[in-house]
Amino acid sequence: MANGTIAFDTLTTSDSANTGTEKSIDTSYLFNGVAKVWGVVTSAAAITNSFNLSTGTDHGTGDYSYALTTAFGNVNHATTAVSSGAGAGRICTSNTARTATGTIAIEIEGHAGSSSDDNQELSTHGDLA
Amino acid sequence: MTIKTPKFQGTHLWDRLCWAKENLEGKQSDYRIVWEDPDAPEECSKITVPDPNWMACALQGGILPPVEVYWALAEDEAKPDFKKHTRGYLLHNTKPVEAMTEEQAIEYLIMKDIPQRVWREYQKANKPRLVICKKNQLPSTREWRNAWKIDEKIIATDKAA
Repeated sequence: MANGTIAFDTLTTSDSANTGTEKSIDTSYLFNGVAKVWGVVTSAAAITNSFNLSTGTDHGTGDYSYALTTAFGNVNHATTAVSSGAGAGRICTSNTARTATGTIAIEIEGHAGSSSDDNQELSTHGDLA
Repeated sequence: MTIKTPKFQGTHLWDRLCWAKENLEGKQSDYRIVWEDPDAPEECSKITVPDPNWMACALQGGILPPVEVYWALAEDEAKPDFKKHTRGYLLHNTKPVEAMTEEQAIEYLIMKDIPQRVWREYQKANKPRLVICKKNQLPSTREWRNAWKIDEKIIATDKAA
């Protein structure tokens, strides 16, 4: 059986099980809060699993960027990333020089502040174009 | 079984990707694009890897916008007074491209995700600065990664012609 579509602008709950006070939320709030991009990536920028990425680029040791299929409306999008390989204590930072509406860029550093390769897990929130 | 792409022109591109994620199997490509930036000749070679879900969309057809749409948005973004995109509708309203072969998809990705200065005047470059290769042609470890450069002895097929 084919699934249909439910279109609604507001989601409302009676919250009878808890407070008994009706609560509503605009659907657009839900959409705005969803991660628009995510990825699980190797230290060679090969993408294991993802959404809304077109390529990963390995720019050198610990220096990565990811191009998006659907760009953000502006450059003020927010990326959260962790390094996820065997190495402990690595830090992921955003490379703002390379960031664009259609690009997110991440650098990874080790303990001593030197660039370091690692797998990454990332997600980005923002307003789409 | 082959799945038919819905008529997506006018559907938000992000929603199309949601459909693709639900319905298409990701395709891991063995191709890698190795390139060097002529504006930063001291930097090492960069390696660009296709996304498997994007590749599935390219092979399926009817989902992705023409690459020229991305160029138009990049032009807008390059303007000094750019604040936000006002022509995002181009992504969603332009007629999607038909199914591509994997090789055509790699060419599309070069034109979408690699700076134009790298590939626009490729024929005039005095050394190779972009090579499409297979994953197993790259070094097997990342030792001396920041010293990797394209071998100048490589003669691109197009240049040789």
